[in-house]
Amino acid sequence: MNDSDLGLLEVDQLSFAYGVIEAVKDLSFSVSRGEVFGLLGPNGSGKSTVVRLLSRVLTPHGGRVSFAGRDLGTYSREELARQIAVVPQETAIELPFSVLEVVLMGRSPHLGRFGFERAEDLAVAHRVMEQTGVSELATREIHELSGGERQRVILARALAQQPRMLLLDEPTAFLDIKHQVEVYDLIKALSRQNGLTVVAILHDLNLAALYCDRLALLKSGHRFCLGTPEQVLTYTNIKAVYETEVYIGLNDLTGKVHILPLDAATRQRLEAERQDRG
Amino acid sequence: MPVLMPHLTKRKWLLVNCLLLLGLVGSIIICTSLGAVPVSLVHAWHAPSVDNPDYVILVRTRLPRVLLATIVGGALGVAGAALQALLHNPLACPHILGVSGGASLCGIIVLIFTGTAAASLTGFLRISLVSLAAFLGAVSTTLLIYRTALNHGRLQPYTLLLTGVVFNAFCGALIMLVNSLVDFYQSHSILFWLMGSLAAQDYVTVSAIGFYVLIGAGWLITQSRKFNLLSLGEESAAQLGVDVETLRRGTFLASSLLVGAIVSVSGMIGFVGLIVPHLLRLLFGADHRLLLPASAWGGAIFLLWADTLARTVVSPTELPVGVVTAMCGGPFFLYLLKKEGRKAFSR
Repeated sequence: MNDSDLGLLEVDQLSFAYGVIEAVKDLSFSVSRGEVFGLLGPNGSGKSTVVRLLSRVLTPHGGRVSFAGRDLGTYSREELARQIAVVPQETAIELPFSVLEVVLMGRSPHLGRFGFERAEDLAVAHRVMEQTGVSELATREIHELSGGERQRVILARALAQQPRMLLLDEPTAFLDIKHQVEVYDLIKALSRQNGLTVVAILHDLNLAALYCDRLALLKSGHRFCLGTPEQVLTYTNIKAVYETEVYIGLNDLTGKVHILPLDAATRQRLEAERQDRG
Repeated sequence: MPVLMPHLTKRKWLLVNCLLLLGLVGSIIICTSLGAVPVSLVHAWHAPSVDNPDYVILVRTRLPRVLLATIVGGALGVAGAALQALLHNPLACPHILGVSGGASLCGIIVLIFTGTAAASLTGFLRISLVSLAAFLGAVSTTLLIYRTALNHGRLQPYTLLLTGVVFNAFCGALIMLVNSLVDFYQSHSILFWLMGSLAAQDYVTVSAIGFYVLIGAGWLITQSRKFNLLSLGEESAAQLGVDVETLRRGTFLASSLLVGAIVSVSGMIGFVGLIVPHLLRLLFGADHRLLLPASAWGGAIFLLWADTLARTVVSPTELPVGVVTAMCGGPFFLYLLKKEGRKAFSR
């Protein structure tokens, strides 16, 4: 697969600046239907801005985004909400909504102005709650839940929108390892079985290697490289973008690359060895 | 846990609204017959003439007052619920945010400075002029407080409440200043703004206020589902199809219309918009499709009884109704601050 294949999502020369600070610069990539696409990069590299641009919370200053062959700007907000759903890093809800009510909010783009949820909307809600493992929590109040439970409820809410594409902004940043894996297992399964397209921001390079079909590595707003996890997650790329040295190995069990950080003592030892050789 | 169901159904919506509406009609009937002079509704109904004292008291003083309490209470309930949704702050209400104070100040200034000119106007026009001034006061206060509390695109709940409280005190001081500069008769009418009163108004005034309240509350209720989505945060709401900026502007305008209209006839009546949505949320859940209309009925019932208490408890004299609502609301606010404050301010 290469960039010239016409994808579901086409991002072309996208640019955006907050005032004078350029957050995204001439960014291009394309994502095919059913693909799990990862956006990587250090803090402040523009990943979250990309998600905001793709969900039209922000309007690009340059370039264009097209979704399913149509310019993103030509969609109405509700229309777009039926196509693209977003799971943010964290959601704070102060009002005492029940879990089921929060999940049903995902049906909103499918209802009329005064509409109440119909039987089919409830069926969708119960199905996605089953998938995300929050069915037992249905009657609980959202702010009684733990961070992990709440995040799975928000994922269920996004899936209830029945979108063609899911945008994830580090959705598992605050989850423990078991729940991280569960969330990505589910997302991967949905992409394989239902053709759901996923664009995910990840901080965890190992999760990216494990679950993403392709990755884009961002450095201060522009695309540093793009390709399969094996092509992108190399010692030189990571050193250039994150400005630190890592250990990269191959996990025998998964067949994927894995990345481990190195402490200062080890980095200094490597440096000394290199100087000895050099 | 909200009673009945974990989510809102059409049946629950109808049931709760009908119940509250029944409660309101019942309250109107009972409160109309209660007062310094008890009135027999049956007697008034059977002999509708000026010779019948029951009929005269009912039609000339009791009924307009009861209707005004219903309208003002309903408007305060809806405005409180909508502002709480918009500002993500369960402690918000027009009074605490200083919106009522700003509206009162502008209303009073226009009332004083157009004194003679306004006196020549009658009925609907005169009420509309003061309402318009109070509305403009409410809009500018809302915007000022919102802008002050907005920090890097995020509403600071603590700043929001503090700004409101300070602004309210500031407006109160300015009103006292105006009060000390004008003559005795005008000063008497200013005092009523500060304490809040639903004392007898004519039917033209009541229907004029009813008209504005119907527009403002009606619009807010049609936006109910968007308020639900807003509780996920502005960005998530936009990603679910809500035009957040339009909703925000509309809500500021509509709630200012409500506050402007009611402040211009009843002065500053506090805490209704705080207590009512809160109790209803505990009872029936947080869904705004039910909460907003329920807050209208609930606010009306609450203020109706508060006003009945105000005019009967020390009869033949009256307490200002604002005193009654504040006596319920003050302790309730402190309780909420203790309970909700930690959650709201820990963000």
